[in-house]
Amino acid sequence: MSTESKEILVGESSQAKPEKKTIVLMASDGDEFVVDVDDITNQSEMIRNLISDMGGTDGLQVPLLNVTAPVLAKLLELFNVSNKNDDDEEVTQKVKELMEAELNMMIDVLGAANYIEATSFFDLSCKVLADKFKGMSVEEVREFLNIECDFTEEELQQIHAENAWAFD
Amino acid sequence: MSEAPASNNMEKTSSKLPPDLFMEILSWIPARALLKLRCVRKHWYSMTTDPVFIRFHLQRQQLLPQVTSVLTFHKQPNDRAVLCLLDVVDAPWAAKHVAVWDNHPLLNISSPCHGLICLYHIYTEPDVCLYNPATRKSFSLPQNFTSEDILLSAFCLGYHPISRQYKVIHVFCTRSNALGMEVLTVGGSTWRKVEVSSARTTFTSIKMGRPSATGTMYWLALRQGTLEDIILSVDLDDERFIEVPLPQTERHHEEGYKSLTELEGTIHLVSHWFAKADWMDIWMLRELGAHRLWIHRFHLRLYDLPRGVRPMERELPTPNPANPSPPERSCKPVISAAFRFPQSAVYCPTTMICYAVSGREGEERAGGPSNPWGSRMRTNEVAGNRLWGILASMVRMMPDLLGYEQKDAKTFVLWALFEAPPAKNMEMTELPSDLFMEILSWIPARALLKL
Repeated sequence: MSTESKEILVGESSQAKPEKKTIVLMASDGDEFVVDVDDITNQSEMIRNLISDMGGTDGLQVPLLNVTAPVLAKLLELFNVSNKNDDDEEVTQKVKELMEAELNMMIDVLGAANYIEATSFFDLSCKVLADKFKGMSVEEVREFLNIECDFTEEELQQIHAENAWAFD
Repeated sequence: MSEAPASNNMEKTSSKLPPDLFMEILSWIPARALLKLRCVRKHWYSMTTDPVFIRFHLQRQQLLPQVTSVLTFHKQPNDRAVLCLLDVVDAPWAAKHVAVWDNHPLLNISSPCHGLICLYHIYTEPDVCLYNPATRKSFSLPQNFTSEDILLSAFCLGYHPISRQYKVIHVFCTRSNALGMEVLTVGGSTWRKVEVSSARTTFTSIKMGRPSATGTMYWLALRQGTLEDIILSVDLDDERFIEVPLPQTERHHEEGYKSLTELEGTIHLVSHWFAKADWMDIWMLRELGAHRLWIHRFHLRLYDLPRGVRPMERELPTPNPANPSPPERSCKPVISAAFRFPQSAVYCPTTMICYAVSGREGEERAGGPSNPWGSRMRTNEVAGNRLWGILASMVRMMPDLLGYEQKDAKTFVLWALFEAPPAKNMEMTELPSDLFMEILSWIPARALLKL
């Protein structure tokens, strides 16, 4: 029942504002993305502060020098999912899918979210990764992230011995 | 919207892992998994053993709403003491031994503070140490006490958020039966005497000390002579000792059992009246500067369930109209199950966990008979209220606890792992580096039981 009423609400609210305020986000390679002000300020503290510093949104263009167009597109897509759902379930699922399919992209998206201070999205994504790591062995994590072990065999044994119980 | 994403080039991953990002990610991982994962690469090891990270990790883990682990301390008849961890979230409920001490009949533990406990003997002799069940590391405290004349001892650990210091309070009884207290800053080497000359109480009537998130330690005790309940406190900053008056209630003349507990970072007084009816009242202690104010939060009717009966959900009857102060919020608690230990059990300071209460208005009720516990856990998370979270989780634990109880009639003590959900603005501490290098706080549980 509750989900039905939620859908109706979403439908109404999107019809109710024919005239959306928008701003332009510029990716590092010059691509421009037109975004709804409410949608983006809902997520990004940096842009929220920027708009209040500038005293308005008229013709505002925000250059994001560290974020490439594909990453920004992906990030906005995830914000969209997050804005449309009251709970985090849907967006958590999307982040998981992204992590499994394109880890590099996921890490770039995380970096971008951190850069524009999208705190709740950033924390949620970090938790998704943490949950993934939590259940993995050391070797699996190395393989997943494609990193080399830089410990010597003796060092590893020593660390292992310190907390042998944790490896059971 | 734009071009296809960059190709999925896994070779590049390791070179582009930003260290800050991994600090964020690892901070959400519980201690045990982290102890293992930090040997993924050198950088992870050095990062996770850094005090800055440890502090950050503690902070994060305390934010996690769900309760996942419970620490139990339990003494067996053969003089063996056992510290066990119950993972609450992952069924089945197998208890894992964290530590076992043989031939230590008088071993005791303090209430937890940030996942640490103080281990001591009532007769101070062997060793007093701080113990971190998450890392299984311990740290001995200096024994140069301010008095030579110590017969019996109790220790408790607290943290002061402003001075960012951990302090241990040693409460002791001299051979002439006088009460003494002294304080040690963790990391320091000297015990300082606390003036308790005004205390009209005896060592044996003092119950376990409970730290509040604001940095004050509280004890429930009996006044010498009149045997009234009194509350003692020591401010962990200025180390001053004061008495706190009890809440006013018309029931004071009735027979009741009182206990202090700490929920949501705040001290609560739980009073269980059992002379005429089985009622429980819970007050919260507000600390306003030097002032102390009691707020009546809950008035509960408790039901007995015979042993072996599965918990059931029952509606709470209308609150007693004679009740002087109505509960703070208009919630109508539902008793999901109430347990009382068999008469042989000793009431311990954590009595209130013997009862399980769940639900606020409109909240989900327990699921079908097949899985009453699972749905209860969900309720916790939805509620996001630590008080209910802790209590509700206890329901699930009961079968195990009763199991223990039947095997031995001795006392056992139990807390939620992360006792003190810190107040939102609470600052994290500077951990003394030698000892606490290794403290990765506990379990996402924030700890249920406060360890």
